[in-house]
Amino acid sequence: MSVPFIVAALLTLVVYSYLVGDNPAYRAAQHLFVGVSVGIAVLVAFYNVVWPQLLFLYQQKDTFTIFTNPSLLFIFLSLILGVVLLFKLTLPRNAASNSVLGIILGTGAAVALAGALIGTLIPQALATMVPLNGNGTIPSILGNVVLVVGVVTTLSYFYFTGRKDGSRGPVAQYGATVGRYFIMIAFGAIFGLLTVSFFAALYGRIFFLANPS
Amino acid sequence: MPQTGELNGYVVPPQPVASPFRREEEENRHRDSESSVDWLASLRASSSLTEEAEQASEASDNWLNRVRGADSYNPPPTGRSLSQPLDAIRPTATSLNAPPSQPAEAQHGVVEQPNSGQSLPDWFRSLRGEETERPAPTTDSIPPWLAEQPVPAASNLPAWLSGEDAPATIAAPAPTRADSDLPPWLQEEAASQPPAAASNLPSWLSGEDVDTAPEPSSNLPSWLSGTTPETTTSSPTWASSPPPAPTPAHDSNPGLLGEVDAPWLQQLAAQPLPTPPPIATQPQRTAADFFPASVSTNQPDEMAEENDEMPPWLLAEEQDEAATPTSQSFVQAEPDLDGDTDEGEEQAVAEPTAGRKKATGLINEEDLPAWLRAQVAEQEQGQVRLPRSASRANTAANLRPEQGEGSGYVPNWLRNLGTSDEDATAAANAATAAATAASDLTATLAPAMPKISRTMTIRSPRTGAAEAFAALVSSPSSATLTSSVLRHEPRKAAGAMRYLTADRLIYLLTLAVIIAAYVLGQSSSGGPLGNIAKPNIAPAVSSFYSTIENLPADAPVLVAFDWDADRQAELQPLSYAVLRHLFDRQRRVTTISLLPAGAAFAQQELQRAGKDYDASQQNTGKKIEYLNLGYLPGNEIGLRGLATGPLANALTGRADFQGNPLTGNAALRGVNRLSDYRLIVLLEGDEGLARQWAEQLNAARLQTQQLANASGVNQATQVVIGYSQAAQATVNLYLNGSRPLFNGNIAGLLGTDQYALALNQAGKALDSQLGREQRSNVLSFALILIVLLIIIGNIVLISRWASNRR
Repeated sequence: MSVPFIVAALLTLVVYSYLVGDNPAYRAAQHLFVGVSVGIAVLVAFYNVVWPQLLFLYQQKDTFTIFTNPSLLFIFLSLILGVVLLFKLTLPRNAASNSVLGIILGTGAAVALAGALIGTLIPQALATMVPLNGNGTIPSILGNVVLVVGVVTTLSYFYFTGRKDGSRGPVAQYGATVGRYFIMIAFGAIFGLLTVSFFAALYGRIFFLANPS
Repeated sequence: MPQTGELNGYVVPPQPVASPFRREEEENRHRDSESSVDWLASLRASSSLTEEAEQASEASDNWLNRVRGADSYNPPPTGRSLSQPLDAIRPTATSLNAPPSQPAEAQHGVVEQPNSGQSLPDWFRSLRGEETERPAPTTDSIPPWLAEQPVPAASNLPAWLSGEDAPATIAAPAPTRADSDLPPWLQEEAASQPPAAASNLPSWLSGEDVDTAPEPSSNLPSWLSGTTPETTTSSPTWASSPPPAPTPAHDSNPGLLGEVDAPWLQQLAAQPLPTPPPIATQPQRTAADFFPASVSTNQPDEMAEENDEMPPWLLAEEQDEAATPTSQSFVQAEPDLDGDTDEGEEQAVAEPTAGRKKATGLINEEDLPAWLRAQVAEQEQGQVRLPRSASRANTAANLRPEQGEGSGYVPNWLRNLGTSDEDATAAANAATAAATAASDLTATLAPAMPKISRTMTIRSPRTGAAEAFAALVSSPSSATLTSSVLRHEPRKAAGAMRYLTADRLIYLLTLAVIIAAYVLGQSSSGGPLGNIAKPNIAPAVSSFYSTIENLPADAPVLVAFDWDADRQAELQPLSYAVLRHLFDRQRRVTTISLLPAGAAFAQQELQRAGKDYDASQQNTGKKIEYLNLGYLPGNEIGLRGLATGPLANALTGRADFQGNPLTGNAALRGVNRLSDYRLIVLLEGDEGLARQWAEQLNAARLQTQQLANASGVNQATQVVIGYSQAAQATVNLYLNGSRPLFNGNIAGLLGTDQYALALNQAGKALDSQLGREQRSNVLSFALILIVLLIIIGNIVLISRWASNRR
């Protein structure tokens, strides 16, 4: 058994000690895990992203193509904006760093929204609009009926608008009840999948402990 | 500062609010008192026997000490009208007429100093009997506004005021010390004054019959005798009760002080007066307070009689003096709900209504509600003088919403009970019947109406909530203490058994089953348990496998490693299997990751799979080409740039995970953009990253399709995905539909086992590396255990629910 294996095995057992109860050893292992994760992320981001591009800019210093090559210009601007963003460490309310942060958040939100609209919302809406008869087979018919009913009733569950007398229409009223069961079934399925995933993780640890390397 | 308001039709009495404004007001009053003339400060402070007043009196002039000492009463905590300065002087004038052997200072312990008489103003010296030295005030000394006043007719003046009767000298109380104790100047003063006979005292002052008219004092100057209101048969306001607290002076109304010629007295009137102190406590508000106790208390019978006997010109002056609105008037307008004026309530009502200036005349007529305006108008005209009970009935009738504009809401049941008479005149005629009705109503409402505390305070909601919370905490509910939950406390287990809770039992049971299954199923045949898991290759897994198999030789493939340590057990076998499959088919593999740790895992798996491949291909000498691009920052932004733009832009200045330059790498040969990859394999451990890939690839596909019509961009890029079971719910959204994004998918370890089975069938056995046999049995037993626990738990729950229903 190698030393890394011994350390890893001990940390694994310490983490599982939480089943008995919270203890300092578990908390130490937890902090160690978080610290190692952050350390790996910082090292990878610097050596895999920042440092190569700095070297690339340094290599291009004699060619004077930094302002003629758009790619180089983007890298240079990104470097400047990245340095300005570091001002947040000392000047949290600095306007320049806030502007850079605004660019990052605004661009990310715009890209995410466009991707969600094109890649998720519209395809899902189109996938819901299916004929109830399907391809003619009973399973496809049942599947499409369940799909349509599930979508309508689930949406009706989130339909909170009522009439003046406080009542809702029959579709919204009874559909909300049915939609509630659809939602619970979906949540149950998600929980079951998570349980299977956690069992896989448990098996992986047992397999690791049972096969020392 | 007192606050007044209206709450549900009730007139909320002014309450003292401990606000900084009040403190500032008191400070201003104290500062004003200090900054004013000494004798004026002492005069102001004479209304209360406070320590400040005593200090001010010591600093004041001697003659003013005497004046102040005559003010032997405590001022009530009510408002003060413009006549207040003169009210404070009136007793002084009375005491001046009294023998000097009875100074009022003796009762208050104020040290009397000999008065030299040099510091006295002329008018005051005239009061001391020196009228001969100074002529009577002429018309020149009368202010213009007073000169324009109509001269009261002699017929309107009472006999004692018109001079028909002999002047009466108001006698002072019994002497408290002998004349020999008086200073010489005071004895001289006493000698110059005629002795006051007890018979000359007015009845209201001597305590005898109140119907006896007082005799005016001939010693008073004309200007003072003309303005002295002690002309009524009953006790005057300022004498029967303490004067009200001072209120700010009204500039536009000089009041009685305007008659005084002295500049210092004009200055006194011009200076702001302190705010009246708030009412400390108030009695309980009850049901009969709906009835016109407000009016009846504002205008008691004695006051009404006094008004009737006063001449019109004096009444007019009284109304002018009372024209200054104060918040205190709202207090006096507070209705009497119960009608049973107990002793304490009578006192509380009598105090604010003792002075006539504290009635409704203190506020402007337009500020009064309609029903009260009507009553005031009637009383001004002297037409109707209702008794208390009749006035109540009248007000009850006027309290109707349609008649009283904004006079407050009166419920229907109360309106029906209290509207026996709607007209004021009819109510006056039916005074007896109304009194009976009022008493009956009081008797009816007294037990029905809850006692409403009159001490309603206007407080902030936060303060009220805090007090309510404190009350709840301080007095726990008895129901809580006797609840079944607390009475049946769970019995605490002793020793190590206390750790065996239900959830921990489930954990331990699951762990025991997994370990037992792993130990017993070590062999490829599954050991004594056998191979209970006989996976069938799912169509999605088969499609995944087929997609890799059908790729042309030397095709570039991009593999995304988006899993971390938390999904290592689930995705590491799948990643290894996929890489081995790609290597065996001589695909050019490029890996990338949206997670920093994922890049490291990708490097680890590439090296492991490449090493195993090299070991397996020692005889053939084949080499594989792979590249680890490492970490791609930016999530959606990075994916967007990678998916839509040229790959050179997204990877400008980049190096591989080990720092080697990308230029000339064989894995990137012929790859200029993402669509140049023939296959994209997504290994997703997180549902969020899987969604990001799916969304951006869908967007890029749409854009690529639009570009394809013009430039013929290659659209043959296929996408397959292997993911954790935790991400299956999200990934399923993109597996179906008219144009599914993914050509194949593998879910978790079960899908990995199916994929491994497909590789075995193809002669690429990876079971030893993947540990498929043991894993299949272990996971199968674990899932069976969970299903059993769910079934048992539901049975227990349903049985308990059924027993509870019974």
